[in-house]
Amino acid sequence: MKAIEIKNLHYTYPDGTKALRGINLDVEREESICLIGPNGSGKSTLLLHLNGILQLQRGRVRVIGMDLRKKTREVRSKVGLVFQNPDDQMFMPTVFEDVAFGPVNMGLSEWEVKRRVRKALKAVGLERFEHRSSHHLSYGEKKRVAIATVLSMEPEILVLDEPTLALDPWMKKDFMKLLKELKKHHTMVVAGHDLDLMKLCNRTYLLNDGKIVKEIGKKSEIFK
Amino acid sequence: MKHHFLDQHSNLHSPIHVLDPRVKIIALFSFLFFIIFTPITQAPKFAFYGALVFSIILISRVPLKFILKRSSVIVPFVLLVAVGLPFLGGGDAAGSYNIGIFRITHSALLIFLNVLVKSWLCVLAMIVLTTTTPFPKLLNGFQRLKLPKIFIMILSFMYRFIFIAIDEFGRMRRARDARAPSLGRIQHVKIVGCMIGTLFAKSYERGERVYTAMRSRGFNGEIKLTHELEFKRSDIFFFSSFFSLLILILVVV
Repeated sequence: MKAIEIKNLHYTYPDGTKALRGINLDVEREESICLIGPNGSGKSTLLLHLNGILQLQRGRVRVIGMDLRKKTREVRSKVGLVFQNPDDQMFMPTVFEDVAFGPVNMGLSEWEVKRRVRKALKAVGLERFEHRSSHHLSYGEKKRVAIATVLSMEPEILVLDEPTLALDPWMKKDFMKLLKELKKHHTMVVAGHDLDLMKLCNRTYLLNDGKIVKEIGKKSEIFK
Repeated sequence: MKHHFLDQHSNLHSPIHVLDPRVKIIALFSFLFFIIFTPITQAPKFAFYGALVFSIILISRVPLKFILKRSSVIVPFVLLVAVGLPFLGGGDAAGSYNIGIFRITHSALLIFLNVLVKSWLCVLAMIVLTTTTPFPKLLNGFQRLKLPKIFIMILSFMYRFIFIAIDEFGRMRRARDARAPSLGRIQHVKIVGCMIGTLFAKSYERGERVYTAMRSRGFNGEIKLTHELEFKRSDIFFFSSFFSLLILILVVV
């Protein structure tokens, strides 16, 4: 069973912008895929489909064998979506409550919620941050907490939109290390402009104008 | 950017800071209740209520100057009442004071004192609660006291995003100053109007993105919150002694 199967996916925004024009993509389990492309190429729109946030208009999406149209709720608990801007992802007053938000919504017991929060914060290297206020964190810390907020749901697939955006080179190095570690236990789909993300992934695709243009082997092929 | 105007002194270490927020909230409301229902004519009682609040401020180690400064929020309301004084109260000629052509009666003065003393004491008590309790804990306390979840969510979103809105406004102001250093007052007001409009639009868009993030983590309209509070012996001691003092002031003084 494949982790993600996308067949002929189209999406048009209410204002008429055609964001996706027939995407076909298969992702195997425990594989990591990188989507590279210019602004407005449809990367974020594609990622929002993987979690059922955008409703399917045309085409088919299956996640771990489940049809997205029929099993949206189940798919959401299997796919952890990390947004570009951590301030959009963190909306509770404390780090603990933010990381606990997903598990609490899954109806888990208080004990299990606490266990998952601690495990997720440990995975991103922020063990002692439980009671910190979200707005008192640095940008790099917020990025890590944003990942912890989805790790606590123990997803099989991690989807990250522009994970290294606005990080300084030192922070980026640490962050890439973290992503490498997460890759070992998750199927991963990463989108962005940062060509270093390619190093993390088994395959890289170039998106342009709502279509997958080609599979890329080396950085230099992108600009041809 | 870091902001301190809400939680500036809430992480100090004092016997008041460590109390359970629920105890502090209930103590505050009972204090407000006593203040409101004590007639203003019983002046000694108010002196004792004041002494009670100030002793709690001293124990809390929050700078007195900070709390007094914050309590100045009541000034506009008190002034508003002061403006209406010549038109208030019955015609008690014997106890009237004349200021120019205005005649202020004794009962009008009592109304003024009523507003001034009671609102000041209530505001002081509220400031003590909010400066000695971190905001998330305060929300947790209200939640455990069964305040409707929707209010808790609104307050918690406000707490989380007000700082981001302030940062956003600060960035816009810098961008304005960089491009238009010397503006006339009217132009200035016009631009501030536009900036507020932009801030609304940006906040609306952020709201959409945050809702998307909530949905992707299983939110389906039902709000579930976590809570982890426990009563300690010190909480029971504080509440029983505070409440007994209030009763004592009411009965004995």
